[in-house]
Amino acid sequence: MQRITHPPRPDWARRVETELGFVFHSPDGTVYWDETAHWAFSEAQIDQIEDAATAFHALALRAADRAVEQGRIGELGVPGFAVAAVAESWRRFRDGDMLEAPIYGRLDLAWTGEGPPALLEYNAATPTSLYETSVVQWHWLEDAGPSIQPGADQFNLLHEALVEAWRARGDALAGRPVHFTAADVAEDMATAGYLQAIATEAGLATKLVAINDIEFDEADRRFFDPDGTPIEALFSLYPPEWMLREDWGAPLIEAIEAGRLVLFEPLWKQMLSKGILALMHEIAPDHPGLLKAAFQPTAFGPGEQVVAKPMAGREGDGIEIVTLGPDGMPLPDSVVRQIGAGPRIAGDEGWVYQAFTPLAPAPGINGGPAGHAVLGVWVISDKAVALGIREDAGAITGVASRFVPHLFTPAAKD
Amino acid sequence: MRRSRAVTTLLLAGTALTLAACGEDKEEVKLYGTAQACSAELTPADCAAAEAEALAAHAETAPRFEDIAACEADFGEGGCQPVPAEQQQQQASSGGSMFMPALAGFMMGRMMGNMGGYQGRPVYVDRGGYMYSGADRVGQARREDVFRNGQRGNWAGSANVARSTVTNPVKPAGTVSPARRSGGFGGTGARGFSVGG
Repeated sequence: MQRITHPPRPDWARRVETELGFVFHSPDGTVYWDETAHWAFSEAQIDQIEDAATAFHALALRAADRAVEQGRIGELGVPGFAVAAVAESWRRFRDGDMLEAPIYGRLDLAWTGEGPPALLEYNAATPTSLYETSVVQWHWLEDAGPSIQPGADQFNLLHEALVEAWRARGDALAGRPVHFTAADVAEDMATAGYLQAIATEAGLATKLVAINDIEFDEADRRFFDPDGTPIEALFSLYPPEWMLREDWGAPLIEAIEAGRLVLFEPLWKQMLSKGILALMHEIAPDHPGLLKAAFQPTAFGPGEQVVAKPMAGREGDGIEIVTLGPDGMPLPDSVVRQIGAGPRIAGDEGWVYQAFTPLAPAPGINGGPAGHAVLGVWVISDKAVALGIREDAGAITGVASRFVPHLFTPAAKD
Repeated sequence: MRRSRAVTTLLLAGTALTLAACGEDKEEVKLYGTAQACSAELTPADCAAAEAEALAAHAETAPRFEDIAACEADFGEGGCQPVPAEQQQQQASSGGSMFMPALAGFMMGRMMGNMGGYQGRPVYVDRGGYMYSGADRVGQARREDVFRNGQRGNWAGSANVARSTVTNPVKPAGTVSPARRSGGFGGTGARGFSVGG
């Protein structure tokens, strides 16, 4: 894998806005979509990424199974009142209920091209950069690819796989409309709108509603959109673990348990927080690329470089990279946080600790060397289908990390 | 080959996104408890006109409740008032007195197709301090700042609301179920940018 720089398309901003509706390419004037470079892979490397991600996903499901069987769902940051419903959601999935099957998630991998790709975390409930991966980088390859590298391909079956995933739920939904919801900000509503378009393409009845506009009826214990239409199936890009902790968390669980509401992703995906990394390591300590992870920092020894992650942290919020001193406590001068880290909003739900691993280098601040790239591999249903790459000028990937497209060179056919 | 998409699906996605982006069009509105508070920033004539307009819309369109307890369940103790007698006669179905939330103030913004002028809309505050105009949440304030001794406070503020919703009238009476409310989701980490992972 190689990072290759080149001039961007001269009128790329206008093109992606008018042709794709991609309006959040440069929030607040800073570059988010960055096509001054791309990452180039060989087909064998793509195969390796695909296989690693599919295997990590399967391992995460085994870890979830362990959490349910051993009564440890609460260790993964799920609030007590939701534990029984999460376990029930898991059992229904295991019994073959299509409405409880996973739709999508993004595994973040660290890889320099050497050795096995390492799992940083599984964003299994509300992964970001979906539209950028599925549509914008594909448009870039179609448009600019032939002049940059003729014949190049891209690991990107995201759109088709999502259409297929929704189509597979058509019978189980039996005509029930699916509401799509997100935080009322441009990026999230646009992404929810894209997901809605996919479900529409798959033949489902759909509707988009901002999370703050959802109404709850105290009398009949149901949720409604502002037009007065009952919400029977809800796909939430707004973090469900936040919903659980807000005013209507208990009514949400109640409606799901009573069968009045179907939630996508299914409730059991609450278990695939960063905490699942510790359970994955418990059951498969020797799995290739699986970093050591634990609920206690004491699992690591002096001199080890450890990444502390709030269980429900998002966009790098609260993450610290530390080196442990002789007393097992972080050496004060060793602590690395996100560039421009604001007030932390994550952490109360518990922490997980993971061995540090190097990431692929990318340009740092002012062209410096301290930046990195993370491989975001999309898993639809149970299979890895697409790759999206985020770069950050610092050591921790965050909300402002750039999205850089990729391509690969197909292996020669005999 | 790993990519095999037809262009039509891409166009469909683009269309949907463009529409969603249009819905994001925000307009800043000003919120005032009284015309006096408004007059510190805008002309007294504009303020008085907007307040009068809001008061008229309030009388016509404020949500109705069958009794004061149902109203206060949503809008807090002291946050409700009887529906004026002339409207009571038109609307009461059960024969008892009806109640509606007290006007907490009004919001105003330069509206589409209303060049140069301001348009006033009623603002209500629920028991949690959330401010609403019609079904739209427009801000948050401490209830004690809004209602002092049962009177409207002389507060001022601003909010961003979607342009399309500002031009909508307040929900007409009778369409708001007293038991149905918005705002129970979405309060965590409202940072103005993406909240995914």
